[in-house]
Amino acid sequence: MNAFFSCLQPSMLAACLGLVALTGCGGPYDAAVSGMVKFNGAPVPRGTVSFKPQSTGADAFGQINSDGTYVLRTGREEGLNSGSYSVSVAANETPAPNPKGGPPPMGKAITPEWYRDPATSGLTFTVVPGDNTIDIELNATPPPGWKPPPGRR
Amino acid sequence: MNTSIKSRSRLLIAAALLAASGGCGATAKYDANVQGTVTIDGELAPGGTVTFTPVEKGPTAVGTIASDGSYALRIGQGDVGSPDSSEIPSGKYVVTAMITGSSPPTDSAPAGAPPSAGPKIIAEKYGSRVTSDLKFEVKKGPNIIVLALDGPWANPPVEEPSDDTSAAEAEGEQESATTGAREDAATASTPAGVTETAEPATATENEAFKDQEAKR
Repeated sequence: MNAFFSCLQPSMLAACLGLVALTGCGGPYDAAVSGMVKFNGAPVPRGTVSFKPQSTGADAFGQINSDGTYVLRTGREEGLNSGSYSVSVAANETPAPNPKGGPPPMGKAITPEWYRDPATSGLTFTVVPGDNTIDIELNATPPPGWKPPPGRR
Repeated sequence: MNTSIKSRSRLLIAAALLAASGGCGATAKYDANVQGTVTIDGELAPGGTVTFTPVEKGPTAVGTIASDGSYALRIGQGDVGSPDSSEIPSGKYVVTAMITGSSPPTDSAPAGAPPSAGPKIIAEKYGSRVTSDLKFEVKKGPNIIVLALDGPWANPPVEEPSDDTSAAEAEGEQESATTGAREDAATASTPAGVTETAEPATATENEAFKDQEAKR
């Protein structure tokens, strides 16, 4: 009740409108995440960002645009649940089509192998309710004790 | 007169009720919504189709994969006004998928005809309900199901001789060079199929949705 009346004060109006936008018609999720993915300081031009919840919940994914930016989605909807996430990044160059008509070979990796797995990426982020800007900085230094998994190029 | 109209209308009502309740046999209850994301070797799928076939009996649900890798299931036309809100019966499903890449440059389709389908860019096993290892329980209410698929080299396809001859006709002397390249690619990535399995993604994710519903 008090919260409702405080909405009538001009100073609170913006906050209340924000609340309405969040809970009203913003889809089922309470948070939004966008940002940029960089490898050695340069934007990564393609690939996928995956946010895996550290407890329960749905995974969120974002496609990396040619300028390195991404926006997270859960299923068909933009946004995700707030909470703590382990993050992985997979980016490969678009492979040339197989001239024989078979499946194309896997494209050359743009980002290092250990970033593909949320367990070895070392990337964890906390998503708070509302809008979040999360820039993901990658580099060529492997995490301590990292060994390439067998059988992958 | 009066009574006959009454009894007739009663009959009509009874017939209508019967049709509504049991007319088409034991109809499955459409009580679940399924959305999700499809990845191939960790990257978002560029398009294609996923098919959820009930393990017992019931209608088959399909979802078209958007360019951002997301899909929503529907049966038949689904909810025409709001396709993402389409509902399907809850229960156990086995999932198959068909995702193809761009058509090969040596496209043999005649001019004016639609280009032939590109090669599959996911492992062969997802093409059949028998070999697919993707099985999910769809719960009542909203579900988010992530389909983490292996790429085509997880189970290298068997070389088909007929494929070779048609390609040889099209390419002439390039043949020996490309065959070599193909074999290299196959041998280099074969072990990936041994060590990797698709993640059976999301048994727990229904709980998150319950939480959300409670918040709303």
